[in-house]
Amino acid sequence: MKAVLYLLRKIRRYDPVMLPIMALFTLLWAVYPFIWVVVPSRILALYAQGAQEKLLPLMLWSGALAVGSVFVTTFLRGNYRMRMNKVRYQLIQDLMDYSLSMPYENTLHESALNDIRLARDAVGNPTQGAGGVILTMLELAGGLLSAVGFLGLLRSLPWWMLGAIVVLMGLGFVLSQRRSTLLMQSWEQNNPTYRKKDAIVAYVTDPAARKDNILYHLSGLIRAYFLRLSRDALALYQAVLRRLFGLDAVVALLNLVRDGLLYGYLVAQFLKGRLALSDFYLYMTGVLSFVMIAQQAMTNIATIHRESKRFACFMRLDIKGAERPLNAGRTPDSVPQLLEVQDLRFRYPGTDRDVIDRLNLTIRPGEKVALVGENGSGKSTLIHLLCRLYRPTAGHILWQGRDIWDMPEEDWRQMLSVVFQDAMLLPFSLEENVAMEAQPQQSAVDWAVEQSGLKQVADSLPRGLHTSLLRTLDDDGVDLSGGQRQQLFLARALYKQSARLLILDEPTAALDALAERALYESYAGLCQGRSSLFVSHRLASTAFCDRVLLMENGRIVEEGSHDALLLLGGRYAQLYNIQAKNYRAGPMGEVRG
Amino acid sequence: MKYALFLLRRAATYDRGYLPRVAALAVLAGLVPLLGVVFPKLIFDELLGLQRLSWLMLWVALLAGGGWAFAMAKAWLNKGREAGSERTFMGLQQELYSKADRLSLEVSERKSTLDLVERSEYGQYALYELLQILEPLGGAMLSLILSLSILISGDGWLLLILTWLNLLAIPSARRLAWLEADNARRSAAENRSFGYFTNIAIDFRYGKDIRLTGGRGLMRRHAKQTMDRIMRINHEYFTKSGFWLGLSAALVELQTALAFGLLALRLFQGDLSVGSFVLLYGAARQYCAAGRQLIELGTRAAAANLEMEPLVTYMGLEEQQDHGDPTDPEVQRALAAARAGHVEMEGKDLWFQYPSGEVPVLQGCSFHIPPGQTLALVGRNGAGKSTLVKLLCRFYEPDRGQILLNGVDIRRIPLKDYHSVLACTFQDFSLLPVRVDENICCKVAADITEGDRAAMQSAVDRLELAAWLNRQPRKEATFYSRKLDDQGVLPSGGQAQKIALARALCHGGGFLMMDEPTAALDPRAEEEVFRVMLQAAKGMTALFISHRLSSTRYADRILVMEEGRIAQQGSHRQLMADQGLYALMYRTQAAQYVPAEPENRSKK
Repeated sequence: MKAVLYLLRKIRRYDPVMLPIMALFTLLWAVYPFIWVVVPSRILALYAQGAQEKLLPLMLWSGALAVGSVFVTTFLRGNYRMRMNKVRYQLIQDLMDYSLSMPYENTLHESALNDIRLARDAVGNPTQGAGGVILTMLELAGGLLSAVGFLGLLRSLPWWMLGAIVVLMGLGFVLSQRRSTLLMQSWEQNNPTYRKKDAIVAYVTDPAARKDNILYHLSGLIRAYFLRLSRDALALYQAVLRRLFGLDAVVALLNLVRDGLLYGYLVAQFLKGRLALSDFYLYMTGVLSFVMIAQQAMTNIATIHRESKRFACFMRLDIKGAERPLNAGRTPDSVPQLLEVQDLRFRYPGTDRDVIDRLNLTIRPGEKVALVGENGSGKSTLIHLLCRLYRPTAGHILWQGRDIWDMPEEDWRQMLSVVFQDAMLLPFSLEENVAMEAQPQQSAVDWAVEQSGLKQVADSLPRGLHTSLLRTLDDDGVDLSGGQRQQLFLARALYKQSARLLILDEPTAALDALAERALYESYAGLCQGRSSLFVSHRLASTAFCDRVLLMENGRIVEEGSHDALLLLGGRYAQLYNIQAKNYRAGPMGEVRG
Repeated sequence: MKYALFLLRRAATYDRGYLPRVAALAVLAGLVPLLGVVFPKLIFDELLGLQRLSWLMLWVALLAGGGWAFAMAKAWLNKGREAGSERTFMGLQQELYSKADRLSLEVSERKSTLDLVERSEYGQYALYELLQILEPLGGAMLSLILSLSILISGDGWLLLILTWLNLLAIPSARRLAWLEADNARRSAAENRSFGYFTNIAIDFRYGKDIRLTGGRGLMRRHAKQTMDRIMRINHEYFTKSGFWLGLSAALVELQTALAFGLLALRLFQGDLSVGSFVLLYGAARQYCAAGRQLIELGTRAAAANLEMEPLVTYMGLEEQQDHGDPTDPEVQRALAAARAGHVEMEGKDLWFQYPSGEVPVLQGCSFHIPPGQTLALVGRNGAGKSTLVKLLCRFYEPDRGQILLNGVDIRRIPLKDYHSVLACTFQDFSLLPVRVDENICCKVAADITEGDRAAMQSAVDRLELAAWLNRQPRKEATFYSRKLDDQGVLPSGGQAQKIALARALCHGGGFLMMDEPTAALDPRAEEEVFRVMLQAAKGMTALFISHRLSSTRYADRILVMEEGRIAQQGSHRQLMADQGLYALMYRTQAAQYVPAEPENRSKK
């Protein structure tokens, strides 16, 4: 009920025309089933009276009512469905907004992710969740009215007869609900198997896997798994089908009892002269219509109940639907400030180890710092913490002495320019990808594109900066090579001129030697007026930084300039030499070992 | 209906009992309404006539019992039908993936093919929809014919009116079919976009960038624009189709009303008995209902038919041609030598251009790899290195020039035989989510022989993978990834690359090829993978690509690729002396590692 009310409120807000549509539809939908049950019975009655003059008006009125209501209900149903989609799209946008502004650290909790997936399912499909409730709602009121009307029509049947009909119908309904529950359960049980099947079949059509597939003739292996999983799913389904057959047989028996009782009773009453022919006809067709309409109404109630439960996942997220402010309240600092990290600790939920373990570091205003370390040392986690994407388990990150968690989120965010290792292209125009704003500032885009070297790329494209990227949304979209992507992400970071701290995470992994050097050479320029943190596992790339921090097991273990760290002869020097030794001159044979 | 018929013929072969069951169900669906038309007439005749109790009881029993019998038959047939539908989809999926398997890489990478694959998914739903429609559609047809024959026997005028009105319904049915197709065409791209934005909510890969750049507004604007566009298309479609659907339904209703008026008139004039009135009225209702159902189901079937187009087109895509001749004595000689470990590869003046590309990627590329030598292939991004590897794998055919294996053009060798000579890994290698041993041996566990196990063991030992494998809970029976098994493991990049390498070695080919096998690894793992890989490559003919020029020094010879051809080749020392691209790239990288001072101290 809560879901229905919630959705009615949304309907009133997003498309109030739906409400009068519902009212009109209900009226016509309730009246229509009576027409072709009552009129023939009326005619038989008129025939018995010999009142032929009343035939024409009856036919004209009933015909006009039937034709008109069918036309209007058919039209309204389509229109209502379209409007339902409009409401649903609004809910999807609300959900998208919610998900994009939800604290990022929630993504660490599988349950939070699952909640959002469920909420998506609650609005993502026109016949499920919100769509299911709204669509089913349309017919419900009319159906209930009809059912009540038919009961009134049949009121002169003896109470035991009506009682039997209602009870048998109720039983039939319970069984049909049991039937759909069983089916749902079997789908749910089979769901993991289907997912596995999809996972393995995806390897055949995925072009990225095709190479291995062709070379190693993996199709036999894939087929074996496919057949095994398919057989499992089928066996389970067949077991359910056998149970469904049993249920169907019982339902058929119930209907047999009902029909036998009704027809036998009617014939007996007629033979005893207690029933007019017109009433005989009315009861015979009326009872069947009543049963159908009442069962449909009950099914609709069950559907609304089921889909409301599904929709509850959406309501649970407490999605406001109001647009949250996108802009920060405070003007950004004009110069970089001191960044201090004090006794920082972080532990991923559900684990028992501090990935960041009492870490301390300082970045002085305008300083260029390199952060190096092996995979798994905690570099990426630290970046997430600096970006305020994760909340520290303990400790502080201070900007100009002020904890970043004490300032409004957007204030801190506008201070940062970050290029993540797994940064993504958006399927929009090149310009929008740089600006990440709905209304890009032309001069800032031009500057960023110039500085990052993206200009040459843009110039080579047919529609320049307005070319769409990727083909997700635009068939004429283009893809960028690894190096071009890096340039774009740099441009994105540069565009954000409010930023006073630049963070680059492994920006050179995909670049060849010369492109890599070009980036290093432009690095000093990129950092103009900003502090910067450059993260890499290639130790040599840090030589142009003012200071190097070596991270291991969640702490900074060595710190100093590149040369000083080499002189120290510790972990940094050791790691450096692994990478460096092959570049040193030496007899060829010896290296090959 | 050609796509629908094509797929139905296919579907019939996946489970032979399926379509007969559907046909039987359709017959039932056609007959059931007749019960309610014929028996009431008999009952009325009897009631108003002789009122014989035994006959009345018989008709009532047949009316009620017939309904029961039909319901039981339907339930029983349905049980088999549902299982058959499952089998049919299994069959279709299987056919689709064997098709995918027969496509060349070039065809399967095409944008048009990827689109087809994506749209085929909707095609599968459409087939499902069609199979659901078949039963009521067949039922409606039968019901239409039966009620028509009752009407013919009863009243010629009635039939004339109804048929004339039915003809009137044809233009609106056509109009509806056209609207449906038009809508499908116009909304396809928009729906794809809509799916994209719907998924944004649950896909957090964009989450960080959007949060830090404030890209939420951009995302919201695009989503809103897309949804507004969809709503505009929808509004137009539903308004028009609502009108025509309403009109068709109203026509049917008009038929009922007219039929009814006519019959009533004749009843009053005494031309009809009450029983015949009931019978003909029932038949007329049934005729109209069936007609209406036919229109609705026909429209849906037409829409489903259109959605199946990509599926049918996909099934008809050209398949990989294999011009190899296994009986050619030269081919046999070359293969026999290769299997004995003697692999010599040669490329002669290779030219190649991607179908979508503007300039040829390979422009007269020639090279020679002597048996037993390890060669490195280096060059800038986009120089054509990976393309050359793809040509060597025969994923693509060169536009000009030829590749020779032991002196024989590889196009003359049957594809499967040629692939058995190769042992390849790529940077973007993919392992299946199945057991580790199955991944390495490329066979289901049940089919892995003792010989396979020995080969696997040797590869695992050579790659120093045994220790890691023994640490896993179920050793080599452990699943790679958790997609198929909850206790599966996700090894680090280095270990995964080693598993892929073990697969390559186990495959037994004499020609080892590696395209950037370590690009995603950190220095320690990179170092280790290179070391074990080169050890394993000893005695094999090998070609590897790497951006890390330090590793290329291990090669016997280095090929430097520039603008689609081999610009330089020679040993590291020769190339350094040449002062070309190689020397430039090497020095650029080495400069980061070879500062003037700490030279001596660095040795362990």
